[in-house]
Amino acid sequence: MSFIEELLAILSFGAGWGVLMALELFLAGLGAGAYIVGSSVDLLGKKTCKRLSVAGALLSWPMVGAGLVILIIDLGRPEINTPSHLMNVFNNLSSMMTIGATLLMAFFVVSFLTTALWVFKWREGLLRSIVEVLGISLGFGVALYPGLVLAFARGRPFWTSPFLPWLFLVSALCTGLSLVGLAETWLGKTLFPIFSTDSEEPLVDLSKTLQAGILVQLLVLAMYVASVWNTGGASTALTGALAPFFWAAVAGGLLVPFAIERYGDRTFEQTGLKTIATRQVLAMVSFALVLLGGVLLRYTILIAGQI
Amino acid sequence: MAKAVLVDIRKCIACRACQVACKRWNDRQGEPTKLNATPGLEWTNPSDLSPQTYTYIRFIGKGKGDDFKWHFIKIQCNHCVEPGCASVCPTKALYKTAEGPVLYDKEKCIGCKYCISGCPFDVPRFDEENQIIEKCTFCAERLAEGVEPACVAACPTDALAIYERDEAIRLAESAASKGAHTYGKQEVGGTSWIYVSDVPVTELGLPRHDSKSPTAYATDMLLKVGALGIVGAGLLYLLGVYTKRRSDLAKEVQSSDKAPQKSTVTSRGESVDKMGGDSA
Repeated sequence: MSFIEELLAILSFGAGWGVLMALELFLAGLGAGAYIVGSSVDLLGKKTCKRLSVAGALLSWPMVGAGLVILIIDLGRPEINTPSHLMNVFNNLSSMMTIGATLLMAFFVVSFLTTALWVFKWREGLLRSIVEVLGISLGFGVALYPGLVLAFARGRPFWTSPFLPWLFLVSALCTGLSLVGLAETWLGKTLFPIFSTDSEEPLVDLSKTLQAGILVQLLVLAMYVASVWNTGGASTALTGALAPFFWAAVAGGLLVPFAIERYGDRTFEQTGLKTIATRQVLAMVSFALVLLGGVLLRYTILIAGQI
Repeated sequence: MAKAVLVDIRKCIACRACQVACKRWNDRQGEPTKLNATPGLEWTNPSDLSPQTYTYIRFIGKGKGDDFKWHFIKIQCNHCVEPGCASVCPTKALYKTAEGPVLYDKEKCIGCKYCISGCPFDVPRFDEENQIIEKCTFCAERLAEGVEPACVAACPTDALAIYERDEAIRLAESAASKGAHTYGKQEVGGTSWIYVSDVPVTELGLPRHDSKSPTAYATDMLLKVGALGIVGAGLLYLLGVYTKRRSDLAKEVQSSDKAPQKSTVTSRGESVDKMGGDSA
């Protein structure tokens, strides 16, 4: 079978989980990551960066909600799955799918509540902090669960690594930060006029955090790959038909954004505010690339594990 | 008591009567098939399980020249003692019965397909047309009437034979004591289809598994994930402390560079600045 034939066979793969499932895993992590980043900024006392915190909360539940909708659409029994029939998903409390569905729904409620607390200007005080601590805890669960779902699938050796949940968690944090950063940089004060008095420009901190996150992700990815090195899925992903996707995720979604951010940081430090518009464009490019890389990484791992 | 089928690969002649009997009893349709292109598996047909194929005989040629020999291994659901498919199924649509079969309740299934990935033997198949999971049922309705499964009844060489599971294990161990290889006694916590072979069964395409049941496997995985999390958090904390210390030191050096130099007098009466250099 030629490379092209193999690639076409893989792209049309329909026996198990496909592109919709990859998208669901991505959106769950993305929403959780955005929330964790935004709420951490608020809890850690960066009160001058409220726009980030609002963006994190405001973007989290639509992402997780979209993931849930896609998950339901992707289920194989559309004619049977009435809302009451779908409640069967909570039958087996020891199944990671049941635990994941519970976490997703709880996180959706808490992140929506956090957004309401911001929008209705209950902005300060203990209540929001308590809700944010709860939301961050659930968010870590939501970001970890896709990796655990795959790691528990014993019939798929490429997934059965304890590094996979952590890879998905770090990726969720990087993509979540990128989403928040993209919203802040692109729309900023327009989107969140109630916080237009924020004095601090958070781009530098976001950039430095993203660079650190990318380095950690590269490290965890290397350890994950090493732990499943001798599986068929590793050959498919690293050197086989899915290699273009995998290496695009690594190069385009991690290495290039890292290089852009390093370059942007240096330019910004040297020339200051004169280059802020260019710096913002660079940041938006790298944020978008990280998001694209997150989708590609999940798709590659999901499909390669099933071939 | 739980039943088990003893599959003695050494007796199989690849007549595929079991394939036909399975199709007939379970009312499975014929499908267009083609010979397997994989070297060493060329005569395997059909070449995989499907919603219409609950079992098939895999042909595996081993050796070269005069040493060449065909091995025939029957593939189907192994009806694990603690099934991986049932352990991951969120709806409990898949379940293990006391008699041995692992069965599927389509009234509960939501079609998440987690069982397909959770099965350690890659057995369940999703029927897109009817929107249900399909796999070997161990002919549970026949077992309930005290009748052996259709494939076992059709086997002309007694390569397939049904026993109480304890008895099947005893027979497998007896064969093992005479040099045979066995599979299913302990793999994934034990299965209700136990193989006896003249070559290691993992060389005939069944996956290599340890003896952990799905519960033990999941506990082990969670412990590993947790341990990695603790180690990772510890390393990140140490990295944070190191980075902060470096940053603080850099700031200290910066501020001392900017501060006016103060002179002091040593015990020998020499004037020396704070940085340790001799005063002018």
